[in-house]
Amino acid sequence: MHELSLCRTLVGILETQAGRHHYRRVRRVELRVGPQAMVEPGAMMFSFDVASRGTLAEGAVLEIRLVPTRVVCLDCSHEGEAEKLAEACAVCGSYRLLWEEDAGLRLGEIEVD
Amino acid sequence: MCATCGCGGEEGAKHEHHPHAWQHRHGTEGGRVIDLEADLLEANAAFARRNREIFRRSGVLAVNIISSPGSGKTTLLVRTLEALRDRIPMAVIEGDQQSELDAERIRATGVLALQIQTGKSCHLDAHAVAHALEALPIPEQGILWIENVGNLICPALFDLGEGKRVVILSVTEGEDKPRKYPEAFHGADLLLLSKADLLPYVDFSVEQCADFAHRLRPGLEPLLLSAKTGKGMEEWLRWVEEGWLRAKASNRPEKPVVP
Repeated sequence: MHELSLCRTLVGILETQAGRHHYRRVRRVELRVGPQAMVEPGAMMFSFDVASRGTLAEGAVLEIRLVPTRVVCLDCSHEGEAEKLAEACAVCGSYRLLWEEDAGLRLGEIEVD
Repeated sequence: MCATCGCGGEEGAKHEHHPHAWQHRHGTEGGRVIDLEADLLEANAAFARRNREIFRRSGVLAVNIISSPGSGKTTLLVRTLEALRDRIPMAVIEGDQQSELDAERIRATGVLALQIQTGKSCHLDAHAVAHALEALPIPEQGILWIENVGNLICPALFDLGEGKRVVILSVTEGEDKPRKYPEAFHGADLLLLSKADLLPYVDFSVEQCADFAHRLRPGLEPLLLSAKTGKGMEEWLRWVEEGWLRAKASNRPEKPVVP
């Protein structure tokens, strides 16, 4: 359940940014998740509810967007996208793919009052 | 509320779910939209960079060992320390939720060990390792072993600043684990198949395991190893020494230029 510690970090960022961007309440939070981020959306939703309780993000909606990573096939040079690990090349079926930088786990847009 | 992603689309899910449609904006009742673009793992990444720099300056090879509980991490580590302790300065960071048991086993070999008790947490992070580095004398020009919490899932997400990452899978766990827990294998520099002496008694296909591992990391060759019989130890120690020599060489202080 590392999702809970990630959500505590997330709520911490939302609280820190409140002064800078002048908001009192967060309505919606967008999370951009790459295939290598190792985050389970269900656990993330649950953990966010727990971590945001009593904070300015309580009741906010957590939107999880899965962002594919660009991959290059080492056998046929096809450039494509992968949404999860161990995907085969769409053209030649090879698993020898070179992964470009992953979106990781990023806080994107937030909607605030 | 939308059942797919939990977002608050009006009257259910009128908006379309496109996998890359993070650009779309929801109909809102006047809330302000700010793009924060903050990396949730940045705090860990910053500590990892710091640790990596410490290792580089000290000429230390740091090895992060990841596996599920009971795969034989500590046993392998004890055998490895016994084999190398006379030639290579070494120290060990042990991660467990509770107890000093593993650190005590390591100390019995005469090598310094520091136990991190993670409490409820399921993994080591770079911050915990940074603190451990304050308490544990760094083995200059040597090897720092970091035995992660027994868990094949969460530790994979946290860069500790290590130079090499080793994943251990015991043959009793089954060859399908790379398929089930892909991330640990995707990020590994070496895959050790431990308890190889039990292969005759279990249904474990080394070939299939290698095939799954290759899909996650092309070139990731499994090495069969038994700490009990010594099978594969020679090859493993060669791999370790090669990494150690590289780490040492790349950190050698520059020679003053003689005119």
